[in-house]
Amino acid sequence: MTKVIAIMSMSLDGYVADANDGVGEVFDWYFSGDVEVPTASASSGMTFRVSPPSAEHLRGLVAEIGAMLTGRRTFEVAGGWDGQHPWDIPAFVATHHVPDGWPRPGSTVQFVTDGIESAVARAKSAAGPKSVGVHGAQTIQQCLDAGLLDELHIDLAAVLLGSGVRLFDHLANTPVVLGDPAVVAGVGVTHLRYPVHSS
Amino acid sequence: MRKLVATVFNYSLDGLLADEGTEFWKFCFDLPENREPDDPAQLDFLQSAYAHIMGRTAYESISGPMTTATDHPFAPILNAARKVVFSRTLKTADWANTTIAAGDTAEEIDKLRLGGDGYIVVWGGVSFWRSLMRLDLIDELQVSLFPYVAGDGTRLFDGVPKSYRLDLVSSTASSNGIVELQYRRHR
Repeated sequence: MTKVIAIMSMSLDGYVADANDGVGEVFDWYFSGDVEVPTASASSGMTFRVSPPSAEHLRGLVAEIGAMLTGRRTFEVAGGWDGQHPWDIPAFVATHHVPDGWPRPGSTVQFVTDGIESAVARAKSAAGPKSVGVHGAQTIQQCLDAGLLDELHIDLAAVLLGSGVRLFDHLANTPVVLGDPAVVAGVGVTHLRYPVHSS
Repeated sequence: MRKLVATVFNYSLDGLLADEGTEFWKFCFDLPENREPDDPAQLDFLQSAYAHIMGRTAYESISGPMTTATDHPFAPILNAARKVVFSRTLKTADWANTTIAAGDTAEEIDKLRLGGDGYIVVWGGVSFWRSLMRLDLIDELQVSLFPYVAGDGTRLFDGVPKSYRLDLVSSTASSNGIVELQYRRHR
């Protein structure tokens, strides 16, 4: 079965970005270690520098994810990944309207305009035997509300932002009781992986 | 100088505290380790503190049970420990070994911190806790993170200084999906 895994870096007080969509502080851990983990896409030219436990965690996760699902905001903030998600996998963007100039020739970024269930289904078939990663607060909220998530993967950053974009905002069905997490302690970050029980 | 160590016992993944009477509260206290917290390391941590400090709300909610339910694992430790309640309105504190700090919070904390090593345990309530965070007086945080998205509750870190950086000291999986997180203030 293809799993659907929410993946998000979050501050200890529950924010995934500051009020201006800045992710600098919650993403600090990606660039604060000694072990280089290059992303798969040569064109993005992005190399993470993380601590040894985070490197092991990150390599495993990247190898496990076969397609990425995000919302429009993540797509915009990332500048459309220049048409190619840095993990070198197909990316699906759940949105009401396909942005101007997209889809681009040669790009692996696709758009789904008929709802979150459909977006998850398309990402699942693209992921094949691998898992679908879900990124972006609003998309994760929609998946959680619709009972579409199998796991919740939080990189808990050692910072308090105080304000900004909350991951667990606007949820329709709370409380949500999660399973026992796998815990990996990195440097300045705790990688937590919770099973989401189907209700 | 003594460190201030703040403990957060029931914290949800969405950053909320278990308010009394909520579903989250019930979830937390249905767990045996919360009803009967007898972890030796935890008890030793409380026992070894130089002092325990709290606001009036916490003083009132803790002192009652500790003096009546004396079989609670915390009771013998807390009853005998040095305690300071921060309040400008409280006139007397009947709980043994308790004094009242009615002056400026930062000055009162300094009086407790100076002149020795070790640490002081910060209990709640939320408003006392937040006032210490705002003054940036807390040196260490110990958070028990529950596998729970609460949705409703008191947002613990409301009004903290922006971009408050921490150093992660340890994060450990505990029983029942609880993760014990220990942070030091990055200075």
